[in-house]
Amino acid sequence: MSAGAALDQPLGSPLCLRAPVFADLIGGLDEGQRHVILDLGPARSGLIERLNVLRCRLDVLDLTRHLSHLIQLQSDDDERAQQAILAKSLPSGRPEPLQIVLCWDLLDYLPLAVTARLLTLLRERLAPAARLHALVEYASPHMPISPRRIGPNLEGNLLVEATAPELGPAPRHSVGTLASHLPGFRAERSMLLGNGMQEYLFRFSAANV
Amino acid sequence: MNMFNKKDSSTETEAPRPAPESPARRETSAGSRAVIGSSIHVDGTLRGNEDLVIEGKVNGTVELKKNSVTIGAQGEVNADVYAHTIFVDGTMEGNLVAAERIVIRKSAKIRGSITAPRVSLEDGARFNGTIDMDPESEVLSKAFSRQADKQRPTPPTPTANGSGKAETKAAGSSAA
Repeated sequence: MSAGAALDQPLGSPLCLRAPVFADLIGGLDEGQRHVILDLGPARSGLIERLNVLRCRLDVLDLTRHLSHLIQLQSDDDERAQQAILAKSLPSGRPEPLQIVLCWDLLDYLPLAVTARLLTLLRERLAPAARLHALVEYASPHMPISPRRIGPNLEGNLLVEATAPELGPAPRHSVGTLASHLPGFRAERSMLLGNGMQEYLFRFSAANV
Repeated sequence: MNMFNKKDSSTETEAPRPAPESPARRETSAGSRAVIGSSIHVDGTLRGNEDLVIEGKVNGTVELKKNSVTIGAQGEVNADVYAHTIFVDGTMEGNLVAAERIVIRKSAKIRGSITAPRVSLEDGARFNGTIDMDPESEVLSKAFSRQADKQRPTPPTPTANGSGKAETKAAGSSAA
């Protein structure tokens, strides 16, 4: 498959993509242990089906719905507004440390400063050695203008579907660039996928902050 | 043995179809279900032993721990709901706790928490909150343990329609 092939996919026709890092991340979860996962995208059926076999709590904080607002919040003065969005959106109830944060392709759409701020705000909820998984457009200089619908199927592959036909510039973040804007995280794995996206896995350590 | 065993619960539960628009009504035959019609607004606690379809507005608590609760497409629920199985087509804010399964359909809009050993969600549903699928979760244990039920005071005799099956304690009902 050529790089950027996903961009040629017609709307409503998801591309099935082998994503080894994601598959290992979810497949490696111990069925006997309780896991807490934060999903920063919309709730999706495939992920819930996949996690149903585990003892799992999934927190859904759909930041794609706040995207246009978040993009504007780049100055230091905007920190309170960002905190307000998070406070309003983060699940209430008994806090449990997050072991996995799933970003899908959200980080392609957030300015790096906003990403850094959000992760700083989430930091106190992270478990030691928490993992953050992200997908970024890498091979192509273009990407859909809004986040794609991405979710796993039961085989552990990812179904990637564009939600808008229009394309915009892709920031093509390198793993190093992203790592430097994820406070406390270090790059652990990266993988170039069949559609030209990169799959990144970061690991949190409070000692890195 | 875990009472919320995911692996023993593979049978599909058929969702009761939401009834056509009607005022609240109750059927008295075995396997019956109650319907809160779209013009009904209930504030308070609902308890009973039959399936319930909500097409109206409910604020408070719904406890039908051995039965199914369906929040129909017109239903607007701001409550904590405890049931054996829960289906959501409508709008819900609060906590959903099911002993067996929760099904979120694509028309649903939910803000709050979902706790059940098995959860399914159709793409397109709007959800923000927590989905706890751990059969050993504290919330499930507390909600459905026999000990907890024993400590609960016995509900008073039903008075709404004399069916002797369900109790509806509405702390102020009014047509929406």
